[in-house]
Amino acid sequence: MQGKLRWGDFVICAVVLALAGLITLPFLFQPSDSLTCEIKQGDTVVKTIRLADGYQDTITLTAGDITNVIEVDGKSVRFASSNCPDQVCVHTGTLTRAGQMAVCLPTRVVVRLIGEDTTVDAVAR
Amino acid sequence: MKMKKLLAAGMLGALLLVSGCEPASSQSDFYAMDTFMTVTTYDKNEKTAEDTRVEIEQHINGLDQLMSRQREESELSALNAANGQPVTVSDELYEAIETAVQYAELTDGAYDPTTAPLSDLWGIGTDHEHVPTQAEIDETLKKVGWRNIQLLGNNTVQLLNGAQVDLGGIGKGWAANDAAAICRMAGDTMQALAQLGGNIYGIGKNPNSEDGTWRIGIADPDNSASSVAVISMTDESVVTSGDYERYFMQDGKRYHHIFDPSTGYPTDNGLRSVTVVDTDSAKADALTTGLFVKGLDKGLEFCAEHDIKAVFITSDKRIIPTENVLPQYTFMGEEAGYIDAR
Repeated sequence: MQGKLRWGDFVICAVVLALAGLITLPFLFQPSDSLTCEIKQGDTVVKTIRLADGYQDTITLTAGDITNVIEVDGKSVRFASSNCPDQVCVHTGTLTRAGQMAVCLPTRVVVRLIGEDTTVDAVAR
Repeated sequence: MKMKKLLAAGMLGALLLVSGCEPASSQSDFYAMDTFMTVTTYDKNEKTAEDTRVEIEQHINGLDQLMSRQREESELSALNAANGQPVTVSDELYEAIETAVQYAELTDGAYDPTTAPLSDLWGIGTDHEHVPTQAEIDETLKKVGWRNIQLLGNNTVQLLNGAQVDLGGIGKGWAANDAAAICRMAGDTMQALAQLGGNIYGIGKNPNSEDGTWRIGIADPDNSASSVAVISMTDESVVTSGDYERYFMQDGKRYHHIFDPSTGYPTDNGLRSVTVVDTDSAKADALTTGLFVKGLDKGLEFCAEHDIKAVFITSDKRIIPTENVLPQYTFMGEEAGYIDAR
């Protein structure tokens, strides 16, 4: 008698499966090629943008006398200009894939693309 | 009873599957050694992951205080300001200088930790960058030469002929080695990725990849955010030096920050970058510079002689990996116009 399943057992099963479904749901509906641009200055996230074709934006950030101009064009982001002395941020070029990053050391601005479809874990440069 | 146990096990399995068995991670971005760094640690124990990440960050900040040439209060600055007098330094700084000298000797001076006066003269990456006169270069070259570093024993160092030590060529690699050591001390389940500027160290297996390897891109010199090749590795470091981030253009010519110690000019031999893969990140760091200065042919000879895993990228868009790195190497530069010249 003890080995037989009762209706209560099925209720528990249903609850467990529903919970499992709820946990999975957000991941199922998130497109695997979604790309988010995170712009940080120091420890503060200044802007987070979900990148999409046709989207355009220009973000200007300053630190002291230095101004960074960051351009978003569809699914690509770049430091369009900067008056920092080393120009490393501008020389980094255009970010188009998850895991890519550009940094302006003098202004402490970091632009990073985040997404599921990561080809590489980091870039040595 | 048996049926119920089976059902319970099935339900538990379903929950575990959806919740995943991934380790906890801890990540931080910070600035040290004149560069941007990101350290990510993974462990089954969340606190261990976080404590290890914090320990790495604090340790690297400590190294920066010790080895930075830019910080006036650093121990290295005190040595450089001693006007040629012998200076007793800490164990760690002595060991780092000794290591730098060893790699200078190994590369016949192609890597040289005394090129700092040349960097100061050319000012690349500063607001006074310019092409100096030949007389200025000749005068500055008198202070350059790793043999001017005298290691006198008992942690005592003496700098001759106005030489200055700059550990920028091995400092980040040194820090990456220490980060790996800290992770190993934290236990067998610790995994981490340390991105210290251009120096990357993958410690343990990558929890986010199917085969457990870390996939490290080699930057496209014309668009350094993108990769033209990938190195797959575990418990190794990948380091790249190139002419494409710190430079200025004058009269159509590129003047970058990797100096040839024998001429006093930025190295101009047809190479755009060199990547070295090694378990010792300080060695990889020094050798990327040394191989860049040596050039492609002498660099390949050096790699064959010393069993160094390296990838060379030339200005005519050829990518040349050494044979021993091939099992870890994937070419992906076709779209950007590069030629797989293996």
